[in-house]
Amino acid sequence: MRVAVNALAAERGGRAVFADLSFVAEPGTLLRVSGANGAGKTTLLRILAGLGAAAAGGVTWQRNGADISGAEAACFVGHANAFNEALTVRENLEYAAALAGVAPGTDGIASALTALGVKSLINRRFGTLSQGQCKRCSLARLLLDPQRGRRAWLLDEPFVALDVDTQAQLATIISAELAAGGLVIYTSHQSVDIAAANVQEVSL
Amino acid sequence: MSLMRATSAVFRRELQLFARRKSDWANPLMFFLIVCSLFPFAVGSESERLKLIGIGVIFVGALLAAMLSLPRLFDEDARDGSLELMVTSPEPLAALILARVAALSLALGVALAVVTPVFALFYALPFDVAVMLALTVAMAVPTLLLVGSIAAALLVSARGGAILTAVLVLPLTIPTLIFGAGAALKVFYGESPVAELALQAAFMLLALALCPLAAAAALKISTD
Repeated sequence: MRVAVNALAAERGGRAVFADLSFVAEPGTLLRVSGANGAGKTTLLRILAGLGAAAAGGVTWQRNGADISGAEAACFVGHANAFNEALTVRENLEYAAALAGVAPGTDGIASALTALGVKSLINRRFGTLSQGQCKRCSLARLLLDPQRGRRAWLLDEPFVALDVDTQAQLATIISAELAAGGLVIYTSHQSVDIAAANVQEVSL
Repeated sequence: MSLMRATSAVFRRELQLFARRKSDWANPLMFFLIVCSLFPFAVGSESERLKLIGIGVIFVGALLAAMLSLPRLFDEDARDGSLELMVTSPEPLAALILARVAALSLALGVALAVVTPVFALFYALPFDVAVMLALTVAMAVPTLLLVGSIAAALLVSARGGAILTAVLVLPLTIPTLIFGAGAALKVFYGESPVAELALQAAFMLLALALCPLAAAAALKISTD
């Protein structure tokens, strides 16, 4: 997975948040988007995911040299958990997988939850979980695609609401994804050590 | 293949939510019951007059009850973020919206159509009229929800969205109201309701063809 951003500009409420932003991220890159509050970090991630429109410029996603859309290329985990409170964790993950066009099967869902240490919550209603548990379950969406490194991960403040152990766990998961040729773009106000061969930073 | 999986997942989730939260189906039915039972008190118990207004009151009551469910199409998903899953899906958004509206129409249409003949008793309507009314209500609910999905998509998480949705959607359901209630009136007068039913079905199919595309475009704009 490779992404090229060319002279990108974004607006929010008619006001420019950033302009003329260009960068290229190759497979296996850990890219941190930094900037003050309101600098447009979330806006950038949403544009990359295909959720928002750019005011100018463009984003090109490539997998094995072929251009693909942001919807196919990326998996976005933002502040909202994207889980329904009345459904169980398993039902929510099955829904997310079907919409993303991946088929992890029951084993895939169980192993995604195991990787984040929340396997025991699989049949609990999402509305009965704590903040940290919610966050961990929603991060399990990243691992639904059985093929590692196939999708770019766009993570908006992934370490918020996680305890120190889970932060380390997530850092390990991210490292493994990078080693498999994945691309991880994230924003964070916490400094968590993530082992990566190729680190890049974009400041807004 | 993956389109089938995505649409059936949307369809199944909607029905799961409908079955799991009683307020989703109990609120529209309670509202329908209240509207239908208030009119006889206001109009008086003279049975000829009741029969004549009954058809219209029941039909409008069913439409208003179905309206109540429109905000749940996208608002809740917008709040918890799962709407983003739908918008970023590689599958066509219109197909996903159609699956969602189809599931809601099925659940709500069946629920409202089943209670319609019971409420027809309040108005001393003959059995064959009550059955025709149930059929036209079952056809009107999908039409209303399809048209309403455009307004609901435009007004996702907008303040005062519910009222604005009603204002936008109800005028567009006038054709289905005319022909739906008209079919039941025809049966009441002992004539054939085929023409009215055919026209109502035509409006439903028109909505089926156009509305999901418009709703998808609207949703893309409002989630941007």
